[in-house]
Order: sequence, then structure tokens, then C-alpha cells
Amino acid sequence: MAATTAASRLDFAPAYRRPGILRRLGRTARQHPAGVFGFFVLVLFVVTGLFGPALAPYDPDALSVGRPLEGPSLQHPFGLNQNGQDMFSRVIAGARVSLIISSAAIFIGAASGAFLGILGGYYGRWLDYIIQRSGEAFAAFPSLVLYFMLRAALGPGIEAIIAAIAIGALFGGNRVLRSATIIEARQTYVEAARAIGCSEWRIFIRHVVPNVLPLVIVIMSGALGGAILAESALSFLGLGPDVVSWGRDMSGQNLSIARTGYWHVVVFPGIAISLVVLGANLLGDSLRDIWDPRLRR
Amino acid sequence: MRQYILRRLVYVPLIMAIVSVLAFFTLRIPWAIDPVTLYVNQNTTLEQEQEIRRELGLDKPPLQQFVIWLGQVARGDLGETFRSRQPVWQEIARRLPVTLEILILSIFFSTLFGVTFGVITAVKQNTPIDYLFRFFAVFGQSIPDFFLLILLIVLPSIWWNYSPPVGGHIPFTQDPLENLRLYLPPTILLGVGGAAAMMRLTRSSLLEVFRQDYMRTARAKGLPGRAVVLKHGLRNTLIPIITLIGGQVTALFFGSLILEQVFSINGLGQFFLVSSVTGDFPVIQTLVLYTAFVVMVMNLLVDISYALIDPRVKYT
Amino acid sequence: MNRENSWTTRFRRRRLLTGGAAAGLAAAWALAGCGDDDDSGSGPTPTPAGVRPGTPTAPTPTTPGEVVKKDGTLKLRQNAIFATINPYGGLDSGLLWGFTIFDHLWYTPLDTGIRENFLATSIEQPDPLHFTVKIGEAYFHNKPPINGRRVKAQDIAASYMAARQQTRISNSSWWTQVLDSVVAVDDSTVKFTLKQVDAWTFSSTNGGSPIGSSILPEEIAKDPSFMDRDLIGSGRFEFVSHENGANFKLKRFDKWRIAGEPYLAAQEYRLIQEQAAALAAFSAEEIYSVALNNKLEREDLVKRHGDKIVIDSEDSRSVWTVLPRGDGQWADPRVIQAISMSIDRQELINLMNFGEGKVSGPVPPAFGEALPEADLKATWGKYDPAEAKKLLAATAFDTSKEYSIKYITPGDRNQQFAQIVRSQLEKNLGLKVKLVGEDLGRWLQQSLYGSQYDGFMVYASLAYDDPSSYIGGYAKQIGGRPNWAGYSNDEMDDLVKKQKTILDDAQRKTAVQDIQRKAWERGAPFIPTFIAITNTATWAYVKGRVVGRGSYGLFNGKVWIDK
Repeated sequence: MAATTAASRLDFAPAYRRPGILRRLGRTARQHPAGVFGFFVLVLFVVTGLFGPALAPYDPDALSVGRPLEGPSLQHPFGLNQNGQDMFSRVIAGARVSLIISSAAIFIGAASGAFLGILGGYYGRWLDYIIQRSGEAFAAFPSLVLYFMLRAALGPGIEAIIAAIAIGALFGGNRVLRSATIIEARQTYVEAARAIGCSEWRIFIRHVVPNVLPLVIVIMSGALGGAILAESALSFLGLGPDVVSWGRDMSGQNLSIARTGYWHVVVFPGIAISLVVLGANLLGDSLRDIWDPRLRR
Repeated sequence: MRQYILRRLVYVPLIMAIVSVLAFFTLRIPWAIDPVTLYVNQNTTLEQEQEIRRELGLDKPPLQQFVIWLGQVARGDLGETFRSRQPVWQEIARRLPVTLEILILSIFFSTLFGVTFGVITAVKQNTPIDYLFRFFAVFGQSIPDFFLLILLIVLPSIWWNYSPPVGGHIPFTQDPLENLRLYLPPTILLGVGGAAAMMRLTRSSLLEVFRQDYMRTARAKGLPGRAVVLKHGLRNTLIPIITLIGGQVTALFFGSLILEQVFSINGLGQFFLVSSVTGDFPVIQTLVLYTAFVVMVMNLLVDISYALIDPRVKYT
Repeated sequence: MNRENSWTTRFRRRRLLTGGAAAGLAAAWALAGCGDDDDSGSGPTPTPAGVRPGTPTAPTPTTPGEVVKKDGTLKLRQNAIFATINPYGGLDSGLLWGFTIFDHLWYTPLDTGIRENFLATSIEQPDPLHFTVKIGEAYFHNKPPINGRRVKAQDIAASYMAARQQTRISNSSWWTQVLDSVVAVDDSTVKFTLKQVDAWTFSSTNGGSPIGSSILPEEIAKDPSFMDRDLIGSGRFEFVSHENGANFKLKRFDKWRIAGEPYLAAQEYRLIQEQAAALAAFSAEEIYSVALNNKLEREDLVKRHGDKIVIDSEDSRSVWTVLPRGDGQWADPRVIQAISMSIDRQELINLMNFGEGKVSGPVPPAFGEALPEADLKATWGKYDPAEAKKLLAATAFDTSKEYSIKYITPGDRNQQFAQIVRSQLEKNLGLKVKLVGEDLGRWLQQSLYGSQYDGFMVYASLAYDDPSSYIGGYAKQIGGRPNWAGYSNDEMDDLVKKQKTILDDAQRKTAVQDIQRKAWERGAPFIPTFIAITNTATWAYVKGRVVGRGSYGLFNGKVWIDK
């Protein structure tokens, strides 16, 4: 079914000189403004997550930096919460834990899962068998169940959340990549490479991996949004790590305070969550459109 | 086909065995929380604490505990919970209908909305309607479930002093109307959240199908547009949709947990949540066994349905 | 009423017990998602309506000659799912059924301080170690296997002895260390024997505990697992149904020992976990009463409903406490005094309760045994950062080390309190402090009971019923374990033991106040900060409520719905 589609990526006329990379990027960007928007949101998210404390105008935990519950103003763009803490600084600081958990989901989970899928798809035989079977075993452990189990054993703390979300993402895109790799590995150019004496490892790294990489990035962007939503929901339920986080600022006492008219207390963290997830989704969609010709229309 | 199913069936107990060993010993790693600590208070004497430990069966070495538990499970006895000291299966069975209803309703709504809007956007491809729905889908996917559910309670209350009913489960068989009054608003909302993925999948699969020759043939035969879409188009997009529904069961379990929490519905989600927070080992062990079973059976059913829907699919 | 008995007047009963003793279970509710801390007024039982502090207490006004409408249904909120309906299985169910389904021998309303007899018709006290109770006529609910038979003295003896053996309900140490035996002399006489004199015997943490003193049929007391399935008592309400530990329905018991009561035909509890949802449900009249978390919620409801609702407020008896270590370099009284003086209690009240709170000594202001205002200002209530810094500098205290504040997580108020205390310690004493959130089990068992902390523990104390519970921490042993803070002072230890044996009210009050002053001088590490003033909103058509008498109000059979 997907054989034709993967092949279409490879047919290019040798005589045609490809325009410069910048120009190509620019053209793609113009075609996908939503994806560009998503890209910049994510860049902003990563920068905030990495350098948050340095960027924040106030210490997110500092009390009474202004009058408690005061609404948004020039000095405090997102207003202040019940403790007189600056919501703008808290929203910035909240990016950190979201970034940690979503990077864990992406790099520990989706990326290594993708690698296993590609590896299994390429080598087949016993390796593929082991990876596929363990994938099935882990499928029997949905993230939430895994989290419940780790929570019971380890108690609160970020470890259980990271482990649960990462393992949940591990075998998420596994099967798709495996089949994509199987198709890729049967292409003529792979045989050609083999014929001129390339080593299997070289073929794998130089030819197969780059060709399924776009799919990996699409899967990773999906995992990013999922991880952030999962983290915020757990924090909302009072299960999150004990640090400033968006989900946590939207729960419990803040919620009933917001109900009495101080909307800014929960709305800005909520916007932050939605914005980042939206960015990840938009970017993912655009990448899919660009790289997966089946959807390119 | 039969052989394939048999082979898959053999996996079920095998994987369940692996999973149960994993779960049992994860809960008893040396640095794990000691659940006895949650059942004492400042006046509990050390002897009483020992007594509680003995009652909970935690005084023996882990391996011995495992053997005892295996023996119990083999006899169909899943043990008693630490918190209520009632049989685990009873506690689960009593709460199952509640969560099952939430799951069924929200899967129903997400499929209904997802497929309907998927068809609409595919048929009206690249029109304002298409863009509008797709915009809402991407947007809807980005808002946390819990936030939408909270708004569902808070906004009507602020505007009209009305509160959608929370808490108070009434079995469907007893009073269908009251039951739906409680469950419909939140499950529709949850369904809308899940519908976005379904809509996009339906749309792209349909567009794929539209390009196929047999669709052109059908149209050329002079079949009206709607019939073409529904009869030929949808049938051929069923496989990815069913796969997604299968996957959504676990995703919606998370949604159900949040719904139960926000709407104070006393279902399995909350039960497992509290059990995990209070280190109720027998419940967690059962949960793991039970989900492993459900997930595997679901996967099997999904695979079998492929073969039923699409005669080209063959398992060997 | 048995007021002629001099013994009865000796035991001034204090405010409502909501906490009993189980810190573990109490905080487990917060964990279970109800999200409220102990002091926010929303315990597992519907918080009884209180009064504005200082105003005299009386039943809510019923116009003379007004026709009482019987047969109404009172709808109340339930915050968290009960693990089991068995009252021996958890504090939450134990308390709720103690106030509704089960009857008791006696209870003492806090406003009069005079013990009132419930099922008991007389209590004779020949000497401090023995007392004999005669009981009146009462019947159990008409359900198999008890089938509505009469309540006998044997039932009472069996109930007390059964309650004592329960490990899952949190009995105070009175049950194991003071109570010796309860024996039925004949069908209507019970004889109690104590092992040692305890001035607090009749308090509701001890012999009058709503859980422990619940009267069960003898058959069930001998096999309490029966109560996993159904409840049979002799109280004013009968148990009708529940849904897996939530949404209880109770109905009037027609053969209740007071004829014509209760006025209500039924009580219904609705599980509502989120506070925002509870407020919505209250406004929609799905529940008739709701405990409020703060001033904002109160103002919002008043703006919405005006005088159609009644707001009651009450001093919480849950004291927000900072517990530094009490050994090593901390044993120098000046260290504890400096820490106490560096805490700005007014800021705590402003930030945590929008200014609605009171500075508290070790025994909260709700009790007569609380420190007088002047004493409080000179000791535990003092805020003087400059002097605090000077005092600390004069000691050998190591200010270069980083200390930790351990608090229970999740629970936003605990974290909030810890954050504020940290900022004050850093600002006023120049200490380096890090916050450590721990889950309840670890916090309670290892850090608190096991003394595994190297700086401070912070928490809201439980709302105890007798002042002696608040000063128990000064002893060398707390509940049979070594002092949590490692604090060991012979003088304080003796004083704590001694006050329990002082049977005279006035003398004991002086002794308890004296202990609190001594605790300051001797640098006992339990540093009290403040208590919240809590609010409850009730629809005005709920009439005949008894307010300001603590949990006594929950035994009221005269509530009716004018609607």
C-alpha cells in the first residue's frame, strides 16, 4: 500500500539543479504558515524551558512581589496570584518541567523507540522478533497503568512520571517505522549499494535511516504534545512533581479562586499549555504534509 | 486465520505472566514505599504496626509473597485490598459499570463526531468548511480535557446558577433519563476531544480512497455522490478507524479518570488512582493483569475485524 | 441531666472533634483528591455550622408558633470517597456514622462544658478510677439479624471492648493506656474501670469518641466485618444505601429514643470532590450547605444569593505549626525563640487566608486554656526580626549549613505555608533553606515519627478536642514513640504528665497555660503560628440548626427544611 508513496520521494530528474537550501526552506515556509508558527512556538518553549529562571522578571516562588490577586498590568503582564507571586514568571518557570518531561518522552521514548523500530525493520530475523514481542508486552502497559504502578512503588516525584510517559512513547511509533523501513530496505538503491560493497551498517546509517527520518520527526512532534498534556493532567490531579508547573497552577485552590472572578490565575497557565501543544500539533501536521506525499495535496 | 488466532491466544497467558512478575517485584523493590506507613497514626504502637504488617501479608520475604499470590490467582482469588479489606475483584466489579459507561459513551461520541466531520471535510476538501473544522480539530486537540470539563461545571453556574449534575451514579437500567443527564454532557465533551484525531484520520483515508480507480468507476456509473462516499469510501477507511478506536480505549481511560475526578463519579479511575497513592498493592497487581488482558484481547479483536472487513487481509 | 454529680462538671468539654487522632487518614483524604487541608473547614463530615467567634450561641431562630415542616430531606456534600462503610475501617466513615447511625452514652457540648447524657440516664463516680452508667430504653434498627431488639448493657460493653482492639481506627492512647475494662453488671448497668486517673476521660478524643463509643449490637461488635456490608445501630437515622463508599442515603429511624425526632425524613450525601463544583452545586441548590475555603468564595456567594443564605464562621482548631529539631544545637532555647520571632504571623494570615485568621499559641484561641493575649504577644506571638537575628547570633547555631523544610505533598496549602516560612527564615535570619515535599507515608512515618529531618517540619495540626493533645509534644514520648523533634526536657515531661491528673477545672486550666509559657522559656520546638477562621454557607431554609456547639450540633434531631 505504501510502496508507491515511499518510492515517489526518490524520483528526481538528475538534470534539474535544486535551488539553494534557504530558498527551498523559504518556499516551504510560505506554503505552511501554520507549521512556521508551530516551529517558532516550540523554539520559544525550548528557550523558555532552558533559560526560564534567567528570563523571568521575578523569582517564581517569591511572595508578595505585588498586591495579591491583582489583575494583569504593565508591571505584571499576567497579574499576581493569591500569594502575590508574579504569574508571568510562574508561567515562564512552568515551562521547565514541561520541557523535561516532553524531552524525556521524545528522546528517551519516541527517538529510541523509533530507532528500535527501524533496526528491527531493517535486520528482521530474531532482532525484529524480540523488538516486536517486547513492543506487544509494553502495549499491555498503558502509560497510566504504568504510572499507577510506579507511583505506588516510588511515591510522588518526577521519576515515575518520566518513566511512565517515556516508556509509553517508546513503542508508540514503532510499528509504523518498522513497516516504512522494511519498504525502504527493499528499494533498488539499497541493493545497488550492497552490490558495490557497502557494509550493512553503512547502508543502514547512510541510506535507510535518513530516508525514514522525516517520519521519526513527525512521530516525535506527536509525542511532544501528548507528553505535555499528560503532565498537565497529572499535575491537575495533584500527582505532578513538586515544582512550579502549569497544570498545578490550574488546580485546587486556584480553580475556586478563579471562579470568583480572578480568571488570570488559571487562564495564563492554561493558554501556555494549549499554545505549546498547538504548536507541536501544527508543526507535526506541516511536517507530515511536507514529507509524507500521501497527504500532500 | 484460525492458526493465527490460536498463536495469538497462546501469547496472552505468556505476556500476562511476564507482566505480573514485573508488576509484583516493581512494587517491592527495596527503596519502594512501605504501604504499612499509610495505615498507622501517632498512637499506633510498634506491636500494632507489626500486626498490620502481618495482616497485609507484608511480613514475609517478597519471593514467598509472590508464591502465595500466584497460588491465590491460580485459584481465581485476587486477594483483598489493603484499604477496605474487601475482595479486589468485588471492588473492581462494583465500579466497572460506571467506567464502562463513560468509555462506551465517549468512544461513541468521538467516533460519531470524528467520522461525520471527517467525511464532511473530505467531501468539501479545501473549502472554508474544511478549513474551519480542521482549525477546530487542531485547536481542540491542544486544550487539556480537564480544563474543558471544569468550564462545563463552572460557566453555567456563573451564568445561570445552574450546575450540571455531579456525583450520584444512577444505573442506566434503573432510570435511563437521570443516568444520561449525568453522563451525557461530560462524555460528549470528552468525545469531542477524542474526535479530532478521528476526524483527521477519516479525512485523509477518505481522500486516499477518492483517488482510487474504483471510486472513479462508481462515479462514472452515475451513482449519486453521497452513495459513493458512504458505500465505497467509508467501507474502505474502516480499518484505520478501527485501529484508532482500539488505541483510544486506553487513551480515554485517562480521560475517564479526569472526568470521574472533576464530576465526582465514583468509578474505576478514581479507585485505581487512590489505590496507587495509598500503595494498595493487591489492587495495582490486579490492575496490571487486567489491563494486559484487555489490551491484548482488544488488539486481537481489531486484527480479526480487519479480516472481516477487508477480504484482502490474510493472516498466516 | 445529671448536673448534681460533681464529677461531670469537672470535665469541661471543648470544641468539636473533627480530627480524632489519625493524621494519617486525615491527610489521606487530601491525597485522595479532595484537595482540602485540615483547617479549611471541609472535613469528611459536613462541618457543623459555627458562629461568629465571640457571639453567644443559640439554635438558629425559629419564630414562635411557626409550624415545623417535617419530612424534608437534607442534602449535604461528601468530599471524598470512603474506602469502606465500616466505621472501624476508616476515620471518615467512623465519624459520619457516629453522628447519625449510632447512639452514644454521653456527649458534652462545648458551649456549656457540661456533659449531657444521651443513652445514659445516670453516671455515678464513686472514685476517679471507676464509674457506673445506667442506660435508658432504646432499640436497634429493624434489620436482620438484630431485628430491632432492645439495646442492652452487654451491647455497650462489647462495643467498647471491640473498639479498643481496632488497629485501623485511630484511637487515642486513652483506649490502650487508660481504659481497663467495661463490664455489664445487668441488662441496664455498665461498669467502667480505668488503669490510671485521666482528667480527659470523657472527652471526645477519649471515652466519648464519636467512633469508639458508638454503640453496636453485641453480635456485630464480635464480628465487625459485618459492617463492610451493612450498618445497624440505634441512632436517629437508619442506613439505606451507598454507591461504593459514596452518595449515602439515610432515613429516619421511627423508633428513635426521642419520640417525634428527627424531623428530617432523610439525609442524602452527594460526592463532590472539586471545590469549584461544590460551590456550583450549592448555588444550584443541589446541596444545602458548603464549607468555604476563603473570603473570596464567601463574598461571591453573598453577592449572588444575599440573605437567602446564612454564613457561619468559626475559629479553626487546626494550628499551622513549624517544628524545628529539638536536639543538638537546637536544644538552646534561644534558637527556638529566635526562629519563632522571625516568623511574621500576620503575613501568613494575609497570604493564606486573606487576613482572616488569628495568631495562635500552642493551644488555639478556641480553648479557654489558650494563652491570654498579653502572654501570647510576649512569647509565641512575638515578631521581632532584629532581635531574632541578634539572639541567634549569640548561640552556636550554624547558619552556613543548608536546612530543609519538609511538608506533605500534594496539597497546595501545605506548600504555600512552607514557601512563606522559608522566605521569612531566609529574609529574617539569613538561613539557607530548601523545600522538600514528601508524600504522606514517608513524611509521617519516616520524617515525623522517625525524626528523620534536619531542619523543619511544617504542617497544620489536627483539630483536637482537648488541649492536652496540643501540649503532648513537649513530653519525651509521643504516643509511645520517642519525641519527634528529639526534644527531651525532664521538667516539661513532668508537667505534661501532671496536668492529666489535675481533676479541678480551674487548676488544670492554669497548669495548661503555665506549660505553654514554660515551653517558650525552655525552647520547646513546636512553634505555633496561626489558625484560620473558617466559613460555612447554608441556605436559609434549613431551619432548626444548632450552631456554635461544635459536633454536638450534628446530634441535633430538630433540623427541618422550610421549603
